[in-house]
Amino acid sequence: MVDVKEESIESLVVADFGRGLSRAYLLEQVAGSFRFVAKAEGRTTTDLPHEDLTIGWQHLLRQLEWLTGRELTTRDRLTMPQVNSGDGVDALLVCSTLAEPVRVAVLEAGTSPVTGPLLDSLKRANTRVFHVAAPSGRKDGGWAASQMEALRSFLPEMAIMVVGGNSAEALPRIHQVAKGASLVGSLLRAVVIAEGPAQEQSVGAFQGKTKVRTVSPAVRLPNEIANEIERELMEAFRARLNTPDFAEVTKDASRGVISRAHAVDLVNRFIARAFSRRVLTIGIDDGMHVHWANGDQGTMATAPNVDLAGFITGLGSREVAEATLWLPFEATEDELITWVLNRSIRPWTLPDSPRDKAIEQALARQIIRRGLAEISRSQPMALNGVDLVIGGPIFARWNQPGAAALALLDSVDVVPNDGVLDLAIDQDGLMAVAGTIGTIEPALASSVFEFDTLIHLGSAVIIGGSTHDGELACRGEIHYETGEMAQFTVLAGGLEVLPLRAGETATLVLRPERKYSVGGHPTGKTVTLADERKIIGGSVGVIIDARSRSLSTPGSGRHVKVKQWLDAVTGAKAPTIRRQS
Amino acid sequence: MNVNFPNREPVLVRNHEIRIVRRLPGGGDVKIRAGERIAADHILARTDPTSAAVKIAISDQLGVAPQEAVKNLLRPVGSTFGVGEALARSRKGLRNVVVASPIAGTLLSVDNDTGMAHMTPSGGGEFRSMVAGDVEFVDGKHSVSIRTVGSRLFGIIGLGSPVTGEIRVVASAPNEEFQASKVSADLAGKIVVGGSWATAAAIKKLAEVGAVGLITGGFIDREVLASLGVATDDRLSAWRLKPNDQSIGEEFRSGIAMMATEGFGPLAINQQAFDFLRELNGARAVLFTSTRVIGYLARPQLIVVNEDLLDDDAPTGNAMLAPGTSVRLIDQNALGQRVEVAGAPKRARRGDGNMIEVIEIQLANGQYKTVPLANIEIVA
Repeated sequence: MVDVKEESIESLVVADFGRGLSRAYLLEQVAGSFRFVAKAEGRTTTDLPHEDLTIGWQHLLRQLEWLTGRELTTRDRLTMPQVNSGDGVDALLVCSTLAEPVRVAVLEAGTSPVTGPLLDSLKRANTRVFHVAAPSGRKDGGWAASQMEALRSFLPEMAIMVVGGNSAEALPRIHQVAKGASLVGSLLRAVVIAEGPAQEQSVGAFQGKTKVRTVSPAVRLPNEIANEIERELMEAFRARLNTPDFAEVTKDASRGVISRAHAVDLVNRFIARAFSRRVLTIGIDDGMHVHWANGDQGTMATAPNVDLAGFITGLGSREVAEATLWLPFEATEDELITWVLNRSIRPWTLPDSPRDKAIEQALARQIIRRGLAEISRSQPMALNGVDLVIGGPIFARWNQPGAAALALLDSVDVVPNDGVLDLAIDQDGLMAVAGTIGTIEPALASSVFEFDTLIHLGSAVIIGGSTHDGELACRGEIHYETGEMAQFTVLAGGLEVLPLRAGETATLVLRPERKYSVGGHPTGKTVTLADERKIIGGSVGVIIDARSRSLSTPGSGRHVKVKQWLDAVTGAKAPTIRRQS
Repeated sequence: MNVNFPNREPVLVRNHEIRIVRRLPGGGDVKIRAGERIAADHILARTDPTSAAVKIAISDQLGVAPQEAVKNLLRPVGSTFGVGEALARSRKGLRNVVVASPIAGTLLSVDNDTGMAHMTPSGGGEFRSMVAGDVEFVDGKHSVSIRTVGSRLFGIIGLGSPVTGEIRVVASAPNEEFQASKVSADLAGKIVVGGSWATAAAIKKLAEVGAVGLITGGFIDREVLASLGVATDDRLSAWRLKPNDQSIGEEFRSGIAMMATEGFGPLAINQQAFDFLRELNGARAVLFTSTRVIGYLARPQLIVVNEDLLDDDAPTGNAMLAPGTSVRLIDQNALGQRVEVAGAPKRARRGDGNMIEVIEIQLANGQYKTVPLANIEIVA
């Protein structure tokens, strides 16, 4: 690693290595601010021998050079530091999801304050987690045996047993699972977090060649225990990354590698603190990661083995079948399963037709809902309080901002308390970049985020309440900065898009009908969104959404409705309001 | 950008230089050196038979303590068993619980601590080349690259162990469905070209008569899983790359090697590929089935080696995207559609600002279209 003094960073490259695609970003000081300049993207390994990362890396660097007209390399390596002519860069930083995630089984008996921080730490360390909590009722109905098939196919490499209070009935059951995990043959090590006799009994539950160590929660704080395990797993993550070709590429890096999910999480929490937002960020790229933050609180859900490319078979067939709900045309479960299987064997193909894009968008919703369900389990009221939703680069590749906005809205699928959700996308994956930069220089990261990261799609106002589709749900007026005013109505079960350009703001007056409400406001109450709560424009505009939640309720003619919703947000259906200027 | 995976060569080549990477399971004692000329049955490495061993959770399945597992064996450690033959048995009340052998092989050991049995497949421990040629390089104990000359057809998804056999084209058209009624005893030892897709009954019957391989245009996942006896609520789980797997579907002990040339679904074999297979009807071939798209790339392939040309300089060209080149579309919507290259690849900025590589193609109806380079594949 190369030490870089902060004041000398005028230019840097951030490498983001994924298991399928990798990216390289060039960022520089421009007119006093640190800005994103160029991005290269390509398959991580492009040619024989495919295990050699250096070939893909050189391809990315050549792309950056072509895009910027600059010489960044000397003999296929980055020129560091930057020279007077502007060639080269001052630093290289790396984030990655390249390594196979460590598979960790978390076995819980009773209630322990360690579990929450532990699960968060596992997500930051790019692991796959199999989490079971043994029931404590008298009748267990063969619970332990029922976990074994899933555990066998999971093949855990590490187990963490957490024994908390009120674990008397749960403990024998979790011991059975621990024994079963040992028998699978893949379990190399285990950590038992327990006190007294429970600790000794739990150590004995692991059989075979599993190395077990113990941690006493009575003498150590939960966060300390979680941080220690996170460090251990990060070492394992970095050890897996450290193949000769990876070591060759990253030997000039200024800091150790950070996982992509962790980098995005840092920025998500920054947004919550710095801008007082209640923010949800969704990424589907080399796995799925969903992040929530509000003030000083935050959590994330990760699933490294499910996405829309090489890991698309990480979806369950039931999730794929349910994705038909989100399609603007009829399709059978068989058709979708076949589509998914074909994508799994040609993961680099790009959706080029409207049909393929619609299917990908439908499957994206299913992946996101899985992540949000996990967040809701640990933070039950989180989603209703969200006021900003950010989608990752996958939402930009469809080149359909309206469809992207709808996918975000549909995935969140709640009536937010305030009634308003701002929707944005991180088109270029710069949240991961900013998070990586933030590990050495938060000020530079803040600059990148402020100027370059998010593209605002627009704001969505959700009208809640009882619904008979087609009846009048809400009337209103939009007052533009230019002095224009337009009136609109929205019918229950539908969407209206009001034009409002990026950078513009407007005042919105909403007059919901008697049985309807703006978000969590009282039914029938007029709500004016003005001053601090003015509506912000974007590439889509303002979406007034009077669809009943939950949006995933099936029904006859569902695909017709979905098509109507899509037509409304993509502009295929003429908007009811046309601006004069 | 690599257009054709896993290398830059077209999907099918004739009398061409071919490179095959044979990955050695679990390390092993490599028996060849770079530069050696080898025959198809040459042993590349002797591996520890346990590295290819299949684990069977005997005590778990019988419901007995691990140390009791060995007492329930029907024959002692060291015995050989056939596929499906009972390995161990215990009595639970009025019921007999039987553990059947998932493979034909030798029972190596039973671990008293875990109650796990280890079985090595017949012939386990000897890793053979399966193709004649020249060893190009040996990568430690992990892989061997072999240069040979012959004809090759890449598929897209394969299952089962690699096999050698005579090609027999049974289908009269590339879009014909392969039914069990077409299976006859004379298909024993053959790699059968079956048309667009095969029913589960046809696949099972082929295995019963002793056919070694089946090539179709597509896999119907339900039919394939039924032929393997896989009963699962989650149809996608079977096609996931599991931890420690080297290729998709490795856990399935398929009685017959299978390869689809186009993908999943009732897809006709590409006409050029079908004509190519008909040319090779009767030729001795090897079918490698390994399929992997994450990490290192592996693609199933059918190879007919021409040993007479091994000492000659065979064509080695990469696939070129010159105007007029015949390619096929591989995006979902137009999967398998045959088109022609109409222009050189170029970079274009997508609406979201990202740069992608695109190419102009001419469709069969004469119209031109620009498509992402990632969505085409050169066939020949």
